[in-house]
Amino acid sequence: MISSIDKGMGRVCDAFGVAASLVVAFLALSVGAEVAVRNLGLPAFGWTLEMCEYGLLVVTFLGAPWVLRRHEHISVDVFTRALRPRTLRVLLTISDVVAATTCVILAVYAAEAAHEAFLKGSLLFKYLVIPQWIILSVMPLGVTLLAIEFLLRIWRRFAGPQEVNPA
Amino acid sequence: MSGIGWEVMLGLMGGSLVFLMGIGVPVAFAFLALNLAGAYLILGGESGLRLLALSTTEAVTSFALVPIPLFILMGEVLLHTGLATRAIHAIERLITGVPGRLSLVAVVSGGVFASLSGSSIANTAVLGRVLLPDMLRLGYHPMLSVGPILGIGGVAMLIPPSALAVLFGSLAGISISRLLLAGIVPGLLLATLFFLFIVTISRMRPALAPAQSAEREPLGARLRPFLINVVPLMAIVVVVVGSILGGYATPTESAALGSIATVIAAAAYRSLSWTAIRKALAGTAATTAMIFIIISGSITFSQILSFSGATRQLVALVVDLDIDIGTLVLMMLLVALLLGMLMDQISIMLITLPFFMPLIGMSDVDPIWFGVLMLIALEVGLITPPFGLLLFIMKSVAPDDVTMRQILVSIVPYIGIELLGLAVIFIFPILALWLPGFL
Amino acid sequence: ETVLRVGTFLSPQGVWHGPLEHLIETVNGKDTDLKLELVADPSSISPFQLGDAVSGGVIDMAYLSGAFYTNLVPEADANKLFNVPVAELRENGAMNLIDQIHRDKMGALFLGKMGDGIKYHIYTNRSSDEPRFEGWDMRGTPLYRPFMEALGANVIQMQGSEVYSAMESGVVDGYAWPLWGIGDLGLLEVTDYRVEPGFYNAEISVLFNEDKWNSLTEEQQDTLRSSVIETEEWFIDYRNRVDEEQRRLQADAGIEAITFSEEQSQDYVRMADEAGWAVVIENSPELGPQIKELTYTDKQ
Ligand code: NA
Ligand code: NA
Repeated sequence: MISSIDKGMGRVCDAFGVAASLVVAFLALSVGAEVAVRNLGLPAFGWTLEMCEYGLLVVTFLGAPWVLRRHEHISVDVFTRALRPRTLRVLLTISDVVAATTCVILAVYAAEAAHEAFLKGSLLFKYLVIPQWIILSVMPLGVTLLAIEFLLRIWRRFAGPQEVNPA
Repeated sequence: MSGIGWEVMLGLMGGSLVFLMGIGVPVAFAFLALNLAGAYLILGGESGLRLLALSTTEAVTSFALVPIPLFILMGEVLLHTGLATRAIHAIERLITGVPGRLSLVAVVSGGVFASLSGSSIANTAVLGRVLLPDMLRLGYHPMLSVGPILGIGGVAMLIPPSALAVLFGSLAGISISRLLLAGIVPGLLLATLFFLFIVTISRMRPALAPAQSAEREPLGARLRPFLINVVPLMAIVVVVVGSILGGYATPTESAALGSIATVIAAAAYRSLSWTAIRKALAGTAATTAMIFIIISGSITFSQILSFSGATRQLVALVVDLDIDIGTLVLMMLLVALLLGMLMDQISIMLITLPFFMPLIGMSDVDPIWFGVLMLIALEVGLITPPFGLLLFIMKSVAPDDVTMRQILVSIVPYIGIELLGLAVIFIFPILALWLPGFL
Repeated sequence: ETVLRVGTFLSPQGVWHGPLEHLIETVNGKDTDLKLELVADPSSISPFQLGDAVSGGVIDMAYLSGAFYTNLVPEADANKLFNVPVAELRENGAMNLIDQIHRDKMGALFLGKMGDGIKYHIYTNRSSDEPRFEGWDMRGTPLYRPFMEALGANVIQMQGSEVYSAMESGVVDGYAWPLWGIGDLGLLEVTDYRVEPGFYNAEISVLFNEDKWNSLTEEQQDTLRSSVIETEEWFIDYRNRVDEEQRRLQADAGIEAITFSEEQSQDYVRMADEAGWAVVIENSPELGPQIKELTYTDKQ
């Protein structure tokens, strides 16, 4: 059961990794194209700036669970490095619980903010007019996945296939 | 707010942050956890938490941050297309018959990459992967193998393009183009000091860097690969700097042009493949996500601190102390160096700049000079334990038998040199301000 | 003593902060148990969230320009277009209408309006005899983008922090900004001309959380209302003084005024207003026209 959730998470995270990579390509190409178009004397796109901003949001919060799965989030291991494996496992589990709880609470309030914007029909009036709830949904989605991944880390540490690197 | 003094609150917030990081909570999530507590207690209950959700989202939804992924992308493209490897080998052919040869190759290549990429991480990874195995095989001491790579890696954030300088400029509200220009001379100064150190130490103690049998190639043959594989890459620099100065692009837009130019360069060398592109994009996305979630956590953290009044009180306290501005700048640099041992560069900027910039603004100190000094201090933080970003990168790209202990021993002289460079720029501000003076 | 938490969307120094400072001093100087305390500025709450902050009760009072909370109240976009003086708006029912809209949509009162008559101007490095900027590259924000397009300009979006570099190197030919404060952005040295007829208002609203308002005594409410009105009245002299200072500052920096014939100037301002109202009415087809009716006269 949990191992199939784990597999599913792997797929979702990889898909978001691909999405984040595509956003990076979009940043370079859209801004580059905007410069080219303008210097050719053609009208500027207008939407580049805000689309890039939303793109960064996607990279940050949908990329984060993928990065977590790849063990690439920065943590300070100087104090924990010297600990015995048993103690280390306990400490890392506590830290995963703290992180998972943080993500759950953040997800709840962020989802509430998105829901409220949805009910009110709030719109973001920029060059493009976009419903605010779409933008506000990105973070709750990302941190929910982060919470699941932190819990899966605990599960993997105690029940899953043994990993070489306990972090 | 609620009765407790700001000093106590500042101490509690800071202390809990260090505690959470200490037990292994990833940096970004330590910030986010503290923010939840801060939002509830300081902003006020559930509406505080809802506002926190909005601020955390908005913190990274900012066009000012776009150059960061783009500058990282330049480094990743150089890495995954093999352009970086070719350039290093070309520089290696050029530098022969000197003691500590490969260490000098590392410094020169690092300097070249610093001008091609805005990412210390990518640069360190490139040099670590390409040069380190050879150095270790030939019996180079860590101080002359791991050390120079780590030292020169940091210079990438001083010599433009630099993702960190862009971020510094936008957070501090100072001219980004001036700050970028101001970093060039200090960056070259540091590289020169590294170079001199290596030449000296390998003459004094030849055992640290075993001499290789010098194959006597004629200069022409040695120069050829350099002219073919390194010099043309400078076209990328021309695109980045030229597009700004020529009025074709803003500094942000120039980052996009730079990354496109890097891809075109790879194509021109017939090194471009879908695999390389995919790896470069994925590497950039991962590093960006990792950095940006820290940014979002720490921007919000400093917002909450500011809302609590602690920021204002601390500034007022320092102003009341009435110390002269030179001492004050030294104190600020000391704070940055100390925080640099524990935190990443972006978090330090986010935490300190809201305190520092108002104080600088009230004095007659040139903010560009101050910016360069801060960037050097932050650069030191990249290689100081316990938390040094480049140390982790090095550990992950170096062969497995390189221990963290060896890495730590290797960097001591380079930290010393960077502090020396910091002192020189502090005493001679003209070194930083000369180039931006032409703008 | 009731301490009210105030937030501003601008950094709390310089000419823009003057009106809020006056308001805070006025309230605190009165012989009541009310105290306003400035707790939030852009270093703690982003301008784009100040509306949410006052709506949710994180702060009690906000000093905020309409452009920053259109997600909550789309009609706030119209604030910049009012050309009926605020004292008259209080007479003719406009303030009541706007106040009601704010209560309905964001749970906040619309207590007052500062900034009447601080005009936006176009600043450029190119001279022109007529109010047409065909093919000019202009930095634009959603606030005045439609007007720039109506003038024939090619609108380019960029962050405020890049305008300096863009003007310096010629990426753009110009930008729009209020008469106040281009010196604070360092733009004096990279700007050659100011187009003289100004347009719109760099308005600032004073918003107040509705629940908090209802918890105040009637006397406290009266103190706040009268202090806001006093500040609105005080503001007119203040504005004239700062307007003059800023013009002098720009002249000293060598910025020349570009002027047009009276007729051209009128057309120019009308074009700006029409472009602005069209957007307001498109985004708020019902309330938009009602607001326009009460706040705007098409007489120059
Ligand atoms: Na660089
Ligand atoms: Na460090």
